[in-house]
This record gives sequence, structure tokens and C-alpha cells, in this order.
Amino acid sequence: MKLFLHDLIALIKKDLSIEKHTREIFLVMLIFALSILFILNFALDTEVKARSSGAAGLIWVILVISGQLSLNQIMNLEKQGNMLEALLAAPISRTAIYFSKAITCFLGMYGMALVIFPLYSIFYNTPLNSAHILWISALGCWGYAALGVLISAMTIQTRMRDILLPILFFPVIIPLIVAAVKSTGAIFQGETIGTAMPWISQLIAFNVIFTAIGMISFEYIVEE
Amino acid sequence: MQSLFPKKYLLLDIIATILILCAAAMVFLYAPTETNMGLVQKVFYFHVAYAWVGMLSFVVACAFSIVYLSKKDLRCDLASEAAVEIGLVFTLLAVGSGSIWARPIWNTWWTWDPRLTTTTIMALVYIGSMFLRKSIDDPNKRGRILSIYCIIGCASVPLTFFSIRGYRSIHPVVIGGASSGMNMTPEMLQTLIFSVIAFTAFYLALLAHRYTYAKVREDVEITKLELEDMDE
Repeated sequence: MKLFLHDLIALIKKDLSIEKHTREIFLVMLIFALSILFILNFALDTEVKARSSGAAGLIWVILVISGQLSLNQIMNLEKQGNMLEALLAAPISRTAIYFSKAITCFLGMYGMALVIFPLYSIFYNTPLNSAHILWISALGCWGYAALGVLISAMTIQTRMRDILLPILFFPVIIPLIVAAVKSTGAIFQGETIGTAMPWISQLIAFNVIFTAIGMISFEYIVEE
Repeated sequence: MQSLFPKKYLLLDIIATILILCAAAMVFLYAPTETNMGLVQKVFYFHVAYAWVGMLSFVVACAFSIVYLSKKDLRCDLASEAAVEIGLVFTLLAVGSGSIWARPIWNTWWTWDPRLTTTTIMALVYIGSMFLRKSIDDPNKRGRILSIYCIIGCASVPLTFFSIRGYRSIHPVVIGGASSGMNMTPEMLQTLIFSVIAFTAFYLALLAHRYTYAKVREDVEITKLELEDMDE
């Protein structure tokens, strides 16, 4: 276990340090998300009601679409210069590799969520209402990262690569997004945490299922 | 020229053909015309059968994927490929036939009902997996990755239905539902059950054909590679 944690931290540090030097993932993702946030303005126009009632859905759509950029990039990083083969040859468990990638992706997604939620609130004059959004969005981001990294590990081994990721990933992530939108939506509407609880429990259940699927199947996918 | 199609499948073809013809006869001659909906209600006997076969095929593909992962037998991957392709056709037929029925009855081609939405998402998962299959050349890698994707899809689709089941639904619940759905006469029920059985037999026959095609194609590929090796 100690060794596992040691490997995991080392792998995450590696990814973060690459990101620190190249700044290819987080910034690109954030600028992309901001662009969509501005485009929304033209779609929503002066519809005050749509801006607030659709807030949770719109924010998650932004997160889902821009998060996909990071998924592509995070696994492509390892494909360049056959890094993945080197990683697999190293005495590191596959589970550690999987979790390191999922955590890196989660950090990027969650960081973006922390920027996009308040920005949406400012730009579209929609109150955030409660700090519960902080951990609910973290749950949504984790499920997204847990399954996304797995699908991304599949698509980097194909000819179509980046184009294939959304086609494969979006249909299977729908249940998680529905639960995430519903639970954050309830908070946005000013409802109590108790009202949102059925959706939050679903979100937690989906997280557990997707993480388990990811943990078990990552090994089969990267196997040479 | 010797036929590549095994003779034992021929019996299945004959049974399926007879059953399908009988089912069509039952739908148009035996089952009474529904009082309120009229002739368009007859779409229902095919629609339910298509939707059933689509779902069955999805589960079959998933089962073959699990067997592939445990036994690494390429034939299972080919069977899974066959099931996905046929399942996609039937799922799209189910959505299309449902739409044809819904236009005069619901006065709309489409509604965001949990069943409709889940079925279409299932079709999207199928389509995704077909793209995935096309873009991997190595048969072992393809089998591995496709199997995992099939299993993920099979886990995700029921979850999608579960997560949106609370959405308002106007889809009739004919079997096992409350009395709010369509009330069927015994003749209608018999026709429905017969139609489902007939289409299941038809599905099995199609699966056998599609699998044989995949197997022959794979064998040709292997022979080609062997011949190329001999040339070198």
C-alpha cells in the first residue's frame, strides 16, 4: 500500500510538472470553456429565466465539452515517444497508473469547475446559493475523470484517436451527467441539501461503479 | 463451389422464415384492429419485437465480450461484432417504428420519454463501438478494447434509464404496468408474443449469417497474411 501511494504520488507529480512546464492542458481547457461561456450569452440573450433555471445544465455542458480536451491530452502525453510502454515496463502497478491519470484529470476538471461556477454566476447574475456546490461538483468531476481516462486509454490506441473520444465517451457518461446536473440544479434553485440528496446518492453510486469499472478494466486496455 | 455456410444454420433460416410469415399473417389477419387507434396500432407488434431484439442483442454482445476477455477466443469477438451490428439495426427500427406510431397517436414524432431516450442512447453506444472496431487493426487489441467498451455500454445504458426514469413518461406500459396502458384482447397478446418469438428466431438466423461472414472474412485475412509471408 505504501509503495502504491508512493508510485501514485510520483506519477501525479510527473504529470503536474509536465503541465507546469508546457501549460498545454489546463489553460487551453479554461480558455475554451470561457469561449463557450461567452457564446452562451448570444444563445441566452436576455432570457433571465433560462439563464437561472438552465444554469446547472449549461455549466455541466461546458465542463463536459472542455474536459474532453484534457482527456485527449493527458493520455496523448504518454503516447508521445512511447512513454506508455516505458510506464508499463516499469515496476508500477497498472492501478497506480490508472489512478494517477484519473486524479490528474480530476484536478484539471475540478480546477475548471471552481472557475466556471463563479464566473457563470457573475456573468449571468445567478446566485450560487450554497457552498455545497463545491463538493457536489467534485463528485461529478471525479466520475467524469474516472471513466474518461479509461475511454481515452482506448482511443489513443486507435487510428481515429481524438475524434473517437467524444463519440465513445458521451453516450456512456450520460447517467453521471444527469445526476450531476440535477443535484447542482437543485442547489441553484435554492433548495435544501435534503431535497437534492436522492440525486447526490445517485451521483455517489455512479462514481463508485465507474471507478470500479475503470480500476478493473484499465489493465486489459493497456495490456500489450 | 462449396458453400461456406454450415448446413445446420439452414434449418434455422427455414424456421425463422416460416415464423416471420406466420407472425405477419397473425398481425394482419388474426389480431383485431384497435378501436381508438385503428390500423396504426399494428406497428406495435413489430415495434415491441424490434425493441426486444435490440436489447437482447446488446446483452448477447456483452456476454460474448465477457467470454472473450476470460478465454481470449477470437470467435467470441466476431460473435460480439455480429450482435452489435444486428442490434443496431433493430434498435434503429424500434425507434423508427415507434415514431411512425407516435405521430398520429401522440401528435409528435418524438418525445423525451425515458424509454425513447435510453433506446436511442443505446443506439449511439452501438454506433460508437462500430467506429471503434473500424479504427483498430490488430485483432487481439481490437477484441480486448471492444469487449471492455461493450461491457461499459451494457452497464451504462441501464444506469441511464435508471437516472431518467423519473422524467414524465407518456409511453404506454403494456406488460406488467398498471391499467393506464393499452388494454389488449387475448388475440392481441397472442399475436404480440408470437411476433416476439418469430423475431427472436429471425435474429438468431441473422446472427448465424453475420457471424459466418465475420469468420470467413477473418480467415481470408489470415490466409492473405500467410501468403504474403510465404512470398517473402
